[in-house]
Amino acid sequence: MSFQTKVMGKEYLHSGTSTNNFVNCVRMRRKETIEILVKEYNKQLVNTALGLGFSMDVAFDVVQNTWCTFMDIAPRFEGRSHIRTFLFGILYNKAKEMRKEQTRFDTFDPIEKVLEERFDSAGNWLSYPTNPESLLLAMEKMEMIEKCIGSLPFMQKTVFSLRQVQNLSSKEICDIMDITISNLGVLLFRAKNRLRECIINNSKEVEK
Amino acid sequence: MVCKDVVTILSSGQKLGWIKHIQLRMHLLLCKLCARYAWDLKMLDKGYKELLENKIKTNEEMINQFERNVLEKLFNYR
Repeated sequence: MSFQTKVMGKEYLHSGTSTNNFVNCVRMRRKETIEILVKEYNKQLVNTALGLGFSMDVAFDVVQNTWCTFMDIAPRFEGRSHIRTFLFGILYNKAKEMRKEQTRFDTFDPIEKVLEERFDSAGNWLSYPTNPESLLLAMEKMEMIEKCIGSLPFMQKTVFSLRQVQNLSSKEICDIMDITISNLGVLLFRAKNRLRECIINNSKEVEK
Repeated sequence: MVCKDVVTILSSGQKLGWIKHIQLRMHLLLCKLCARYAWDLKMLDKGYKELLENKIKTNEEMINQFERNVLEKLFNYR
């Protein structure tokens, strides 16, 4: 790999700014550039696919398809968004296809009613559902976290994974999923509270 | 700022102006239940990240091999 490509590639990846040379290298599918991208992002893509509830084998399939699609459409990359947004956008669409998911934004989620009941009319907690120790104990059981994550609707699982694990910005996530900032806030709200309630309910089982 | 607002802010990841940010911090200092809620969310994040990290660690060699396979496939792309 040429020194220039290596340095330029890494600079672009970590600075988040677009350099014309790097964008051109991506569009021309230059070998060194592809190698930088795979080494930089492959694990993150696998991590995200696992976070979406796929098994290791299926996660590999989804990520492999992502890279193949990337190669197909790389000539169309204009550098207006970061290459990471481009890649995760492809992954998201591949994951949706794999799960045959509908990605309609629902105006209501049952968790909103559950949470409403936790507060009095003034907006203060009525009571707190569990104590910290039992939540911790419940969370030590990895299968429980996995089960609760698995029970989340696809879009909520995706925003949770992209935000909380991959630390992507709100703008990036909105670009990847083609949603508004307001939708993102609502999805995160629902995801986190559903997860919390699921673990609390399971922690009550552990206490028994 | 009431507890219900705090829950919405913490879970939706809203960006706050500096005044609201200070109000939130003050509320969390004074309200044990909201502080516990904030801690719950933090533990959720931590637990989930650990779950995925464990999966990656346990399958590190497989993932490295997968990466080599991906590179080989892409280098032979036509």
